[in-house]
Amino acid sequence: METNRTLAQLPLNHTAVVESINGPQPFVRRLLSLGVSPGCQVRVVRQAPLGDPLQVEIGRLQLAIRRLEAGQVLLQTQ
Amino acid sequence: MKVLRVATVGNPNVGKSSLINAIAGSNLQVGNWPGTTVDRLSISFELAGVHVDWVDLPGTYSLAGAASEESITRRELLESPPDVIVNVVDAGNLERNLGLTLELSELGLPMVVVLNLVDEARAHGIEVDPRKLSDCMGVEVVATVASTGEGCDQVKQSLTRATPARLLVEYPDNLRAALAELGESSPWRGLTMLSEEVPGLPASERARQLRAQLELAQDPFLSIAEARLKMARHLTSDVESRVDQGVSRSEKIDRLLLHPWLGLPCFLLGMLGVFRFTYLFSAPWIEFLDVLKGVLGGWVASLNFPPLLQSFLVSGVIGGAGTVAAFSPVLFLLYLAMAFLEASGLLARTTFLFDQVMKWVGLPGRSLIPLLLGFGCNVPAVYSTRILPNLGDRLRVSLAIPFTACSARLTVFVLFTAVFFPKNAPYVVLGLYLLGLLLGLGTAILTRRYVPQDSDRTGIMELPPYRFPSWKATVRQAWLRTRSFLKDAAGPILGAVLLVWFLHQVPSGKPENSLYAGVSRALTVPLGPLGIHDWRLAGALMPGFIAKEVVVGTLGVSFLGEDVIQPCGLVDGAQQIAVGLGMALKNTLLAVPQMLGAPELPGDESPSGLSAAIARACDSAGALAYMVFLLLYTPCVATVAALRSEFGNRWALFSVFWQMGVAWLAGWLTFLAMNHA
Repeated sequence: METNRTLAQLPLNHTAVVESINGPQPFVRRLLSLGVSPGCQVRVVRQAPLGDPLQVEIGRLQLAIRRLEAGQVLLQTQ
Repeated sequence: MKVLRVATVGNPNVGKSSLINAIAGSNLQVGNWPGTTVDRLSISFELAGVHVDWVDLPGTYSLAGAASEESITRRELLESPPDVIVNVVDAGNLERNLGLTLELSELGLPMVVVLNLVDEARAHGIEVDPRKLSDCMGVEVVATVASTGEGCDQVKQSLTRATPARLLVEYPDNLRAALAELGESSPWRGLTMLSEEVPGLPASERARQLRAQLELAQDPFLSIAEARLKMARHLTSDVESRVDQGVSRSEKIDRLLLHPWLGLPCFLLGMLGVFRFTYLFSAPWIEFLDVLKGVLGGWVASLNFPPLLQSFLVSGVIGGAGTVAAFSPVLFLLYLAMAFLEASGLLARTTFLFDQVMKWVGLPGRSLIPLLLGFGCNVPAVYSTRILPNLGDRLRVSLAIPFTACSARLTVFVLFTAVFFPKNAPYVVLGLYLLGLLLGLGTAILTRRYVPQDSDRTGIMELPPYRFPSWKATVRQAWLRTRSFLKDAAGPILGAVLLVWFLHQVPSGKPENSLYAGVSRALTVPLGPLGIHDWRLAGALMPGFIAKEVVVGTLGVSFLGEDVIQPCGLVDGAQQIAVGLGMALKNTLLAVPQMLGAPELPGDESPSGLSAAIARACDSAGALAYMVFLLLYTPCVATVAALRSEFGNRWALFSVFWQMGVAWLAGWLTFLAMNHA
């Protein structure tokens, strides 16, 4: 079975759709309260000059998220 | 008179504070929420025979969750529900903002929705129809641009007409059934009980059973959040129209400021700009305060009081008040810079840039800002740790800050390096700055396990669009913070100045025989291993504890004797003040073009003759050890007061003793190394 890609693996400037969010409850709830939920379109805008964190665009929202945490966000397979 | 209690609720960065500032006129009051350091803005005014009490609740994305902003907002809405909720939403980010709006409407309280930042949304090609939104929600919707005051009058007028929202979220059947069975007074209470335990809203036994049942299918918290988000999405597509405008202005700025290799230099340049701004614009006013102090002293001298009383008034009271006042120009300007960084969206970018660097110290990226501000003045740096959401991080950064060499310590470095290291002065000063920073970071690392840590430590953060902050709100915020410093620190500083004055006077006679000299001589015992044997050098560390600005002045008095105070007449003094004020204004204007020049070390302005006296007082090894000790030995009284008000007595004392120990050790090692080199 093919495993899903995570947000951390999404190449720069590519768009994908969130399949599910894993990880500890505060993390999941934080993303939900920011409006990030399964079905959302996400795009990695850039990485910080030192490699981490990532800048991710969801709708008009710009989020900074660490690679480790982006690894908990699973994306739909195309 | 009828009282109407109003509360503003909304996401962070949607202009809640601008709104309350625009409506406030001069009635704005700033305090802290009880038990926290989160700002509490409130106003009250009369409106058509009704007394309105309006409070600005902290920005939050939802009413669930454990972060301090969320719990303050939730507690306020639960424990003292307002008569009207003013929900501020960002017109350019409607979908996300409506999630909170829908949650709020479930409280069943009268509500007004303020559609703010419509100008910014329009610039992004987003148009929201307030009437349509109002029709869908069943509450009044007012479009505003809070920064210019547009629409703010309509917001005021709408307060007395507010009604509870009609539109409610459609939840899955099993949730609806559970909600109906609970029969709580508002859907929000029932839903919260079904999804989690929150302080102040204990779930009933039945609610817990129902929650357990629901959890078999899906985490109810998730189902509720998803239903709200889905509704917000539908609603947004109904009332919003957008034209794609291509790359946004914020993205254009980000392409430069967050550039892979231009980003970091840009940041350093910006920080340098902040310090230059602070230095150039504060210097004229510190000079003016000095003139003021001289004239006041002269006036007192012309009154022919007995010498002891005159000395008490001039050196003790006026000198003390002058020391307190001398802080305010630097403080105000640094606060201004901070407020600008915060409101413009730049602060969030700093976090993004430095998250990786600060990780090895175990701190979030934005803790770099308070640390760097410490180079200007430690006091606002400690208060600025409030930008860190986590209490443990705030404390650790605050313990590191007093190690960083503030601009006051620079005056001593300039004097001593000119005497003892004339060829290498800039390198010695740079070395001292680095030493301070390293030992500060070391303290932050060492205290890591002894400091309480919050559980919610996600690195997720919004990068808000860039905005030019409203000048009125920025200046007001900086002024209110400066005022609160003056209130907090005036007492301790004045008390310490009077104590040092007293030590100088008793017993009367020669200064060498005073209590001050006695205590200073006693201090040379512990400082002996550092090569400091002259009591006048050791003694200056005592007033240095009050404010490091006064060290050079104290050395001047101890080595060269007290300046004779020239009496001056009423008219003459007034004239001097007027001239001084004119000079300050002129130099402030002249500072504008200077902002573009290259920064340099300030010139040595100590009294002539002092250099020669100091050159005889110790050797270069002792001088370096003295500078190292002075760099580290203790936070000044104002910083200790700041630490105390933010973290309590225990940590303030810890900071003093810890630094004392580190300073002695570092000074001793410096002296040893210098003698072996």
